[in-house]
Amino acid sequence: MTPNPILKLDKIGKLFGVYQVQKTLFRLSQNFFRGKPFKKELWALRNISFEVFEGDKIAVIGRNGAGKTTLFRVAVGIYSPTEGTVEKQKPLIPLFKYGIGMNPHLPVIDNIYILGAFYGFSVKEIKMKLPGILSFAELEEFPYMPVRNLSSGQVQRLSFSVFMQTEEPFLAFDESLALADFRFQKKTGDYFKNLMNSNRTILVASHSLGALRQYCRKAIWLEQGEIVEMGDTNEIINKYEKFCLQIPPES
Amino acid sequence: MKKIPKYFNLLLVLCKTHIRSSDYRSVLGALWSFVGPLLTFTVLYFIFVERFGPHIPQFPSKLLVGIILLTFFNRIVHAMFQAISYSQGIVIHSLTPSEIIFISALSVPIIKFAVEITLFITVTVLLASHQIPNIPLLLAIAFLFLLMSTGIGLLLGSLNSIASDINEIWTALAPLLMFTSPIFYSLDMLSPWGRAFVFWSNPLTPYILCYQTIIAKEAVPYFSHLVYLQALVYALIMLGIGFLCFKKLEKQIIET
Repeated sequence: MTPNPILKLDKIGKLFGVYQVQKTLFRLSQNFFRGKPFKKELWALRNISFEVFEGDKIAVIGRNGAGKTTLFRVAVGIYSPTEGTVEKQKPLIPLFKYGIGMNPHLPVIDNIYILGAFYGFSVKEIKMKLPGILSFAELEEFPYMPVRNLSSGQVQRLSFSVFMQTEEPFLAFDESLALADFRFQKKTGDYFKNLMNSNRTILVASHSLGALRQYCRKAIWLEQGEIVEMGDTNEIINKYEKFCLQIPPES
Repeated sequence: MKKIPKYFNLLLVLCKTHIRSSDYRSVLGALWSFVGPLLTFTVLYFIFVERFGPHIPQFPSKLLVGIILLTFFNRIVHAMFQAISYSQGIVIHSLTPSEIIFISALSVPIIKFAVEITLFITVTVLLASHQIPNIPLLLAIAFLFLLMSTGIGLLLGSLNSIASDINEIWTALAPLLMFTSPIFYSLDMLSPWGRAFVFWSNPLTPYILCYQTIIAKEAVPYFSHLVYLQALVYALIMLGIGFLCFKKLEKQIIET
C-alpha cells in the first residue's frame, strides 16, 4: 500500500502585486487620478506540484529569486496560494530567520524565553532546557548581557540553540544551514546529521550544495517560479551547477 | 481569535517583554511616565483655571481625568501602529497570528492607565475628600474605551501599511484632539453647533463625559444616559471597522 503524503502541493501558483509607486498618499492618488495602476502583477510560483512523505529529506535549490522562500511560505501556510491547493497532514514548523521576535534591549536569558515561546515551548520547558541552550550557544557567561551587545554570530548561535530544542516531526529550513563561525558550524553540522538520520521530515532550501548532497536524497530545482526538475539530489545538483556555469555573468 | 488559547503562552511572554522593555522596568521609570500627563495638566490648569474653572464644578479633577483618557487613547493608537509594523517581520517568518502581537502590545498602555487612574482616584478621595466613585462602571467604560481606541489604532495602522505617510499625518492631527474634546471646557460653554460637533464627531467625547460625571458624581449634562449607549455603540463600531479593515488588508500587509 502506498503511504499517504504528509504534504501535497497541487498546481500551486502565487501571484504578488508589486507596488510601482512610492507608498504615500500623494503618489498613490496621483496614479489614481491619472488612471495608472498602482501595482504590477508578478507570478512568483507557477504550476508547482509535489508530494512529501513521512521521513523525506528534500532539498530545494535554485538561484536567488527563483521562488524557494515563497514556496516554503506557501507550504508552511504563511502565504495562501493564488491557485492550486496545499494539503498538510502535520504542521510544518519553519526556521526562516534567526532571532525572530528578539528584543535587543533585553538580556540573553529573557530572549531565550521569547524565542522559546515563538517556537512553541512553555516557560516551564524553557526553564528546564536553559542550561543546555546557554551551553550550546556558548553564552553561559553572558546570560544577563543585553542582546544588542552580542555579535551577529552570537545572536545566530542563541537563536539556533533554542530552535534545535524543538521535537516537531516536520521542519522547514530556509537558508538556515550556514551559521556563525567554523567551530559552531561543526556543532550544528552534527545536529543536522542527526536530524537527517532521524525519521523526521525535513525541507531545506540552501545554497550550500555540499551540505544538501550530504543530507538529502531528493531535490527540487526551481527556476523563475517553476519546477525545472525533481529527483535524486546528486543528479539534480550536477545539472543545476552546469546550468549556473553556463549563464553569462551580469555586466 | 480561535488561535489565542493555543498561543496563550506566547501572549504572556510577549506581554512581559513589552512591560520589561517599557519604562515600567524600574520604579523611577514608572514615575517618569506620569510626568507627561502631569505637565499637560499643570499647563492647562494654570491657563484655564480663571477662565473656565468657576463655571465647571470640580474643574481640576475633570481636567486631569480627561488628560489621562486622552493619553491612554494616544498610547493605544501608537501601540497599534508599532504592533502592525512589528507583526510584519514576525508573521512572514513564523506561524504566529497577528492578533497575539496586537493584544500583547496593549499591555503597557493598559497597565499605565490602570496605575494612573487608580492613583488619581486615591488622591481625589484622600486629599480632595471626594466620594469613592462607581468602580465597576468606571471599569466597564474603560473597557469600551479600550475597544474603541484599539479599533481606531488598527484602522490607522492598517492604512499606514498602504500609504506610509498616514502615521505622519496622524502625528500632526492628534494634538487637535486636546481642543476638540471636552477636557478643559464643558459642552454647555459651546455654541449649539460646536456642541453637536464635539459630541457626535469626536469618538472620545462620550467616554470623557462618562468618566468626568462618574468621578464628580454628577448627572450626564447632555443627552442624559444615552451617552453610555453611545460609548457602547462607538466601541463596537470602531473595533469592527478597525478589525475588518485589518483583515481586508492583512494579506497585503504580509505580502508587500
